[in-house]
Amino acid sequence: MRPDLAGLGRFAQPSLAILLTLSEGPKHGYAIMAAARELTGEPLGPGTLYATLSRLEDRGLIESLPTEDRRRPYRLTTNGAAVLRAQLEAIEGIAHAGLARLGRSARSRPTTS
Amino acid sequence: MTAGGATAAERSRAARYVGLYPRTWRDRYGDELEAVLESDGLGVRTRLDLLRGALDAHLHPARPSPLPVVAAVSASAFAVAHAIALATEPAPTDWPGYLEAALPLIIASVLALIPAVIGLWLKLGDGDGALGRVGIVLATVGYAAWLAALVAAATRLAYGPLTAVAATVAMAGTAALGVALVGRNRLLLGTLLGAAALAGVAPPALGWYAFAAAWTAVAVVVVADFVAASAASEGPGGRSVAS
Repeated sequence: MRPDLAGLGRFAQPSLAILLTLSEGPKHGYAIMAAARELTGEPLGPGTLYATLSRLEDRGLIESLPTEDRRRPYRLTTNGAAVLRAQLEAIEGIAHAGLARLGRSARSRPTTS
Repeated sequence: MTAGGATAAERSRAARYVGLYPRTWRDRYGDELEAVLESDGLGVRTRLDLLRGALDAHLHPARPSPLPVVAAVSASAFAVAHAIALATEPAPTDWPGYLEAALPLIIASVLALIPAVIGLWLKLGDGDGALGRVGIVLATVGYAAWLAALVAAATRLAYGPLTAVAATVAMAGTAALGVALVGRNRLLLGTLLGAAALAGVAPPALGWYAFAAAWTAVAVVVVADFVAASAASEGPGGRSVAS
C-alpha cells in the first residue's frame, strides 16, 4: 500500500478533500460534495466524486456503510485515517519550512525609504 | 431542490447520465449517484464531469477488460503471419518495406495495435505522468495515421512518405509508453515495448521479424497480467487496484 496519494494522479486532490470531510464522521455522496466545496472553495463534481470514492474504497482508505434511502454513507478506515494524517503532516512540514524561508527572506530584504 | 422534490424530467435526465456508466459500476454506485444528481441538479459543468466520470469508469472497469488482451494477441498473431509471409515470398521491389500481398496482414495488425496500446497505457494507472500521456497521444495518432496510409496503399489511392512518417510517430509513442512503464517498475513490459518500437523503425525485412517477435512477447506478458488481475478481482479483496 502506498503511504501517500501521489499514485492517484488527478484524483489525489479530490481524495484529500474527501478524506478530510470524512474525518469528522460518516457522510453520503451529496454531503461529501457540499463539505468538500466548503472546505476547499472548489466544486467537486459527482463524476469526479464517485471515481474518487471507488479508488479510495479499492485502496481500503474508506468503507461504505449500509444504504439509507438510496444514500450510502462512507467512513474513514484506520488505514485511511493514517494516510490522511501522513498527508497533513507532510503539508504542515512544507508550510512551516516555506513560511520560515519567507520570514528569513523578508528580514534580509533591504527596506526602501 | 431535494431528492424527494425532483421532477420526473430531472429524474429521467439523471438516469440517462447514470446509464452512460458500465453496468457493473451502476450496480454498485448507480442508485446513490442518481440520488446525488436529483439533489444537486444537472448544470453544464456537472454534465461534463459525468461524461468524464463515465469514460473513466469504462477505462477502469471493476473487472479487467479482456478487450486490450484480445487486441494485443490479435496484433501479435497478424504481425507473425505478416513476418512469415515476408519470409516465404520474394523480396518486393515496388513496395519499399512492404509486400503488397501481405498488406492486409500488417493492416490488421496495426488496427489491433490501437486498442492494444490503449490497454498498455492504462497499466500506468492514474499517475500516468506527462511521458505516459505524450506516449499514448503519439501512439494512437501514429497508429491511426499508419493504418490510414496502409489502407490507402492497399487500395492504390496513394503511397508515399506519409506511411513511414506515421509509423515513426507510432513507434515514438510506443517507445515513450515503454519508458513510462519502466518508470512504474514494469521493467519487462516496458523493455519489450521499447524493443517493438525499435523494430518498427528498423529496415525490413529483419525489422518486421523483430516487430513480430517483440509484440508476441508483449502479448504473452499482457495475457499473464490479465490472468493474474482476474484472479485478484475474484479474490476476497474484490476489485483489484489498478497497477
